[in-house]
Formats: sequence, C-alpha cells, structure tokens
Amino acid sequence: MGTLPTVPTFVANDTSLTKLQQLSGCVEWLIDCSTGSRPIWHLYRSTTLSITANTWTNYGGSVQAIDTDGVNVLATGVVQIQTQGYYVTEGCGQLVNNANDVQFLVSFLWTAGSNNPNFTNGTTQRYGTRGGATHSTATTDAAETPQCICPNVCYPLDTIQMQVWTSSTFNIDRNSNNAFEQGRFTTQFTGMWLREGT
Amino acid sequence: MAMTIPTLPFLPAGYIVTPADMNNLAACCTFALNKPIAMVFDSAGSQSIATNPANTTISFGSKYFDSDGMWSAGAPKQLTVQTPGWYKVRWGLSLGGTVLATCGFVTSTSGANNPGGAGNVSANYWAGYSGALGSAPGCAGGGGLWPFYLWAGDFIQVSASATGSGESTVSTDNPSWMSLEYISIQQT
Repeated sequence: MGTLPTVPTFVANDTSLTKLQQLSGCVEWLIDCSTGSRPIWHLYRSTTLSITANTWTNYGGSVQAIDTDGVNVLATGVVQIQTQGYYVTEGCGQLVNNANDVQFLVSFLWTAGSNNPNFTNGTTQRYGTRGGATHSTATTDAAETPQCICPNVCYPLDTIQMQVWTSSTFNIDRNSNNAFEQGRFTTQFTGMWLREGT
Repeated sequence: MAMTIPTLPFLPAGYIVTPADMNNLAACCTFALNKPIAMVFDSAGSQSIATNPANTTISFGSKYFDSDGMWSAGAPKQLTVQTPGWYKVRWGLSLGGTVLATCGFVTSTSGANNPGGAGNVSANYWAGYSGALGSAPGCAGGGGLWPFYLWAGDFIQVSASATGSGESTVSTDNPSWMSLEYISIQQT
C-alpha cells in the first residue's frame, strides 16, 4: 500500500532532516509512479469472454501492464483499492465483429468495502457509462472508451471494476494482432490516484 | 472558495533559504495533493433534448463532490471556476427514448475576470455521440483538457442536440454527469 505523504511546516532556524525528507516524499508521490508511490494500474484481457445479453458483466481482464499499489490482488479484473483517495478510471470495452447492430455499453462499478466510513459494506454505484447503438459489421470491431472520476472517495478494500452490457450475446476477444478482425482493440481498464479525500 | 495559487520560490546560488521559502514549497505540495475537483449529476432526469440545430444546456441539480465551490444550486447548468488555471473536463449523458442519435459537447463562457471580457462563448469542444436502438438506453460522453486557461468566474457547460423529438435524459442507475479536474497553474 502506498503511504500518503505528509506535508511539513518549517520554522525559523529549522534543521530537521525529517521535514526535508517529508517534502521530498510529497514530490515523489506527485511525480513518481513507482511501486509504493502514487497508485496507477493498467489491466487488460488475454482470453476471450462471452457476454450474456442484457447483463452487466465484469470484463475480467487481470493481466497487468502496471500495478504500483497491488490493486490487482484479486486477479479477477476487479481492482481492490489499497490507498485512500479520489481515483479516475478509464477503459476500453471491445465488441468483436458483429453482423447485427446491438446496444453496447461500458461502465464502471464501485463497491464499498468494510473500511469505508461513508457507505455500508457492499454498497454499489455505477458511474461513467458510455455507449449506445453500434453499427459493427461482420468484419469490423467496435469499442467504447469511458473515462470518469469515481464519485466517491475510495478507501482500502473498496473495489472498482469495468463492466460491459449488450442487447445481444457477443464476445470479447483477447489482445491479438493475428488479423484485422481478431481482437484489434485491446480491452483495457486503467486507473490512477487523483487527489486526497475523506 | 478559491485555493491560493502557491508561490514557487526562487533560490539562486548563495541565497540563504528562509522558512518562508520552504513553506512555499510545502504549499505547492499541499495544492497539488488537494487540487480543485468537482463532479455534478442530473438527479431528476427527464430533461427534454432539443432537435438539431437547436440544443439543450443540461442542468445538473446535485453534486457528488465539489472541493472548490464551483457548483451552486442556483446555477445548476454550469461549473464556475474559482481557482484560475488549466482544467480537464469530462462528461456523460444518460439518454432514454427512441431518437436515432444524440450528440453532446462542452462550451466555456468567460466571466468578469477574463481579460477578454465577460460573456464570450467558446466553440463546441469534446463532443460525444450516442445512437439509440429502439428503446434501449444510450450514454454519450467525452472529455479532455480544456483548450483555454480558465479565469475565476469563467464557467463550463454541457449541451446536447438530438436528431428528432422525444429524446430526454434519464436518472436511473447512472445519471448524466459533468466533472472538472484542475491540471496546472500557469506562472507566466
């Protein structure tokens, strides 16, 4: 878990090396996304997935390109917050070539954990939904790319997942460059710590 | 409730650093760790979307959070900048109806502190589109860095137009929303 920095206060004739290190820690938090510093993650799918019609479904990508705060601990595509604060999430949900127009939505689902003082454990909130009628064809994929700040301050053990919904059963395909139609758009879920909050 | 823009100290060779200099550096960190953000939403729904070329400015009657006082119940169709700087805007419209398509976009309007004077409306930026399919829902959205430095008093709005009558916002499950995130000061 990343440690939120402490902003020091300096006084006349101050000789505190601790305070200088605290100041350095603030700067590190703000500019460095190394492990243990400011949380960011980027997960994507590496396997196919069938989505049942009219059902919000976790897209389930758990292959991590980066995870500086260990949020991928569940390895299910559902990230578990480790460091308190506001977060912004971004994603790309892919609809593999479909011969029929479908309604296709991608969104984020936040769930309160046991440490959250503002919501009962298990409370959910959907946010950032984007999508509508696609016009994909038998040879072309479609995609939606939501981006949104989570409406609630996140506490450790809160979770966030990216979900997809469609009016007809369809598939998500893996990240692949085998062919134009084969998983052309990477199904991905990204998030980053934005700001302190309570 | 504007935040105070922090002062970046100048520390030339031979200069003896003062507590004020160090505290200014600390204030820069405090500013970055607690920068202005706001996110508002349409809790009521049922806002009728005008037919193109007319458009409807969306009202956001509730807030999720607003650290800098950018939203007020008396002016629910806008977020008004309190702390000048560069901002990122994001938005989403939840739509219900049988209209073919709805397009949303963002504009800014200058306030009294803007050097160009008040009342100047920008072009339409960061547009997004959603197509309906029968009565199934659609969610248009967009976002990005606002292309102009925003002065205190400038405000941001989301508007939309549809290809026909009968389109409106919905508030269930995932209501329409708009957010502003502070990105950067500009010293010069």
